[in-house]
Amino acid sequence: MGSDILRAVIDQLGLLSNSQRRPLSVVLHGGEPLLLGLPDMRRLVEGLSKAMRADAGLHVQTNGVLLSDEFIELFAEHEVGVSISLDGPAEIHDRNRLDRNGRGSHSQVIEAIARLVAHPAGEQILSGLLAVVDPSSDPIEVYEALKATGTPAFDLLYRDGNHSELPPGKESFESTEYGSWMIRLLDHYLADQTPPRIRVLDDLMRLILGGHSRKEGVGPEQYGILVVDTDGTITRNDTLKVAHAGADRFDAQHSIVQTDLLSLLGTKEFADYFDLHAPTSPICRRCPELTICGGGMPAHRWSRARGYDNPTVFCRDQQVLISAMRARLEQTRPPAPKMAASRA
Amino acid sequence: MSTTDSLSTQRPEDAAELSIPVDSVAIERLIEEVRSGDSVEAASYNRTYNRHNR
Repeated sequence: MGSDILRAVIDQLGLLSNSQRRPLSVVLHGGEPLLLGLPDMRRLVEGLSKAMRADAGLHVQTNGVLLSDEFIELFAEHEVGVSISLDGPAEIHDRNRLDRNGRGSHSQVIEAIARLVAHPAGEQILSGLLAVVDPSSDPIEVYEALKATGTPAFDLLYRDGNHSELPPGKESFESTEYGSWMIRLLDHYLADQTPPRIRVLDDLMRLILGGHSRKEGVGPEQYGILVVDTDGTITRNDTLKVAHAGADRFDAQHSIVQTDLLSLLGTKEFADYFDLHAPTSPICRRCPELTICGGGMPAHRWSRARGYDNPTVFCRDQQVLISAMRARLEQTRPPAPKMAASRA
Repeated sequence: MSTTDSLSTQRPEDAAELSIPVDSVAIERLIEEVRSGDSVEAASYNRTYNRHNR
């Protein structure tokens, strides 16, 4: 990331943070954000901390491999939340997460999490772990492996896919491999007397209980996510790449160095992009669980035939999961009051 | 790097019926959050930290 881009990111996000009603949340992710290197990361974090409003959030999502003590000190000093990607025990994690030499990164990640947990500010800055679901794995093993790190929370992502290219491990639109996996995890979670947080499960259950979600792709809340690449290019949510090549691009080329971010937010192309998040499929619009499910991530709705005008490819998975949650929440309701009996 | 703002489209809900005994720690804390208007938001549980890294 060039110094002109770094400066523009700090200046523009500072302006944006001070201009909007809701707190801005900035997440450094990748790829791998720590590849930025310590000096540039320090400039970025220090600059953003000064430029943004005090209620703005600043977080890093990292694979943990490069998480040195120096990075931890920097994040602790500026209260940068750190989330680390860990998919579960070594045999699960190392299936898909390899270092540059082709070796599994599990042991390096575990070591990084341990150092972060042991840091005096670890409790404040360790936001949690992020795992990608492998439906062929044992969810209880995954749960216990993540919990054993000492993390206060973890979140789960379904694997990439859409109607034209099904996610790995999903047989068909009607099949529920991911939903069944999540239900097993849910039951283990609900039985745990010292549970960490599981954000996606908490969000769905909080919505069922009448509360709010905090995660994109769940519930009716819509997030205006913009992505700034390391070359300064401003794009739509990069998860849209899961739909098709170029789906994350705006019609026009925008750069954080040349494009006024506040002006971009007022354009029709941003409004069109924002509107993309609301599900359009008749199946979703008449679904009684739409306010809980939210229609899923737009990228998961994609098909070559109908574009985004579909329910999420995980529709059936979400249906069985939400149904299971409703059943378990219902079980927590107290029995009907009984008439008091007395003997004279 | 990504930035987010959000527009709330949530409906208000009556949380009165949530005053129920539960035996699940995870459910109990969610009920407490909803009862208190979702105000329980520790810094360690920020709404957008988990962007992807995969």
